[in-house]
Amino acid sequence: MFYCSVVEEELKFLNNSEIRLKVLVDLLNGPLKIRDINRSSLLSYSSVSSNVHKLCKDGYVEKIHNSFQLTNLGFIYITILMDFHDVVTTITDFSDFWLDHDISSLSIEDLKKLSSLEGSELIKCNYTDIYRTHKEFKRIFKDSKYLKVIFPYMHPEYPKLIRRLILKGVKVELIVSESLLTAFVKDIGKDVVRKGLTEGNFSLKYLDEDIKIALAISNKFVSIGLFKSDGTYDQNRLLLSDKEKAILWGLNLFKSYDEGGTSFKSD
Amino acid sequence: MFFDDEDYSKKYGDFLAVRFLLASKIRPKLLLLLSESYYDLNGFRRDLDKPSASILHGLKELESVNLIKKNFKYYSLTSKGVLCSESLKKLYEDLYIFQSNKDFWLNHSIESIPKESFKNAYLLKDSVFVESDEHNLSKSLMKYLHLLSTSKDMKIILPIFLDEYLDIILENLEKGNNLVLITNSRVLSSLKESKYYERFVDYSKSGKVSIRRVDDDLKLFLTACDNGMALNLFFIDGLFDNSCCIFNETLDGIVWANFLFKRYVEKSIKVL
Repeated sequence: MFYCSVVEEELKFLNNSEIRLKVLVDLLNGPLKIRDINRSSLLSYSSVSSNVHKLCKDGYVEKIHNSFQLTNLGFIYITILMDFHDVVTTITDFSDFWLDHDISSLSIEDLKKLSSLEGSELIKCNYTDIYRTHKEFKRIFKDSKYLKVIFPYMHPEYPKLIRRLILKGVKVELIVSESLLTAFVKDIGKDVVRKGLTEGNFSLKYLDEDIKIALAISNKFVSIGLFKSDGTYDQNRLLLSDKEKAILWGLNLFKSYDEGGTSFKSD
Repeated sequence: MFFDDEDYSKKYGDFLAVRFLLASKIRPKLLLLLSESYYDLNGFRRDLDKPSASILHGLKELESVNLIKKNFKYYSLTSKGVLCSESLKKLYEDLYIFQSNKDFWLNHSIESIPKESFKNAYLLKDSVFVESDEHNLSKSLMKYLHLLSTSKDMKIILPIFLDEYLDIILENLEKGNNLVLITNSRVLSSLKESKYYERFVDYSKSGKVSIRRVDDDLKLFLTACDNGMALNLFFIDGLFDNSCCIFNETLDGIVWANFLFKRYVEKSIKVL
């Protein structure tokens, strides 16, 4: 609440007007005259002019000759607000992915970087394709150059996918809960697990806790699946992104699980 | 200085969802309170000191977009509400250092700080601005020298050539500490002509010193150590501000400084 009390007035001033925010965004492209903003934004000249002057008065914009440009403060505020916009968009665009789902697997630090997931795609099963999320998962990860994956549940297709990748020499790092370990080793194939571990392109870790997230990261994609609030895994929704910032977000999350995992050693 | 090729106007065409959260004084506060505990109306009235009607109106609005839920008379956050409240906290913490030191940021050049570093500014929320004054003209310098003298590893982006800094850096190297120094061509030339360079070369042979060069016109003096960070900026008119330094001795501050330093490592080339 303390930090809120310091910045709330400024945020209220900026957010009370869509025009003020639009002006700040437009000025990110360089200094502009009021007429330029008026033409590109289709806002009335008087509205633009009045808001630009209010922004000048509060130190977000300054007049240079006949043009207006962002001050440092204006640049910083709009940069941070755009980041917040990305987070809010990620939350509202994928509302049913987050709503009534267990997000306890995400740390505060993961949540603070949620804007990294902006521009993701929500894959949903539908009446004509009830296995869409699984199919999509297999399709995008089958040609991975590397794969880091956390499986909180068992699906018969996944050990097969892992097996194929290990045999192709792809680097695979797998984390499962302890209760699923034996089943995964058996279905991947003990011989393939041993081969991967020996040759160094496979690592298998287990956690002695319930994992509440499905996460897969390759060189090209990151996918996230969550459990519903009732404790069952939501097989109908998968959040997918091919953006570098989302992949980095996934890698950081994977790392936090990896650090707490115990390595499986083949006999 | 701020401009890049991205078409922001298209991507950020509307701020409706952002404004829903921020154009109100009560909605964000309700979310923040609920992030700590569940509440009933009396609890909200007590902690917010607002009339019931305003609180109920805000609650209804938040409930209509599934950010909060009501169970009997108690309100709590939905999972979506948890995400929003955490994002709000980050937003406030991100802006705090700029809002509470508005004049500093308006008067100093920020062109050498990449955009990504502003988005992580919550890491700097516990920073201290140390300013020299008429009673002590070297207040910020002394604090800086103290930080450096108690550190083990030094990562420094140096935009100026100043004997005081180089002396203490060398003293630290003598104690067995390490240094990665990033600078520009101008400072590097001065360094090469100085009494310090030969000693840096010696230390580099044992892997204690590495010097890198960037082509940028550096407008920041950053020190990222194991025990803290320090940041000096230039005034808007181009002069180096030796009188005010931002210090942060928390882990968060060190993470922020290391992130920024890494960005400069990526665009620099090793010269020693």
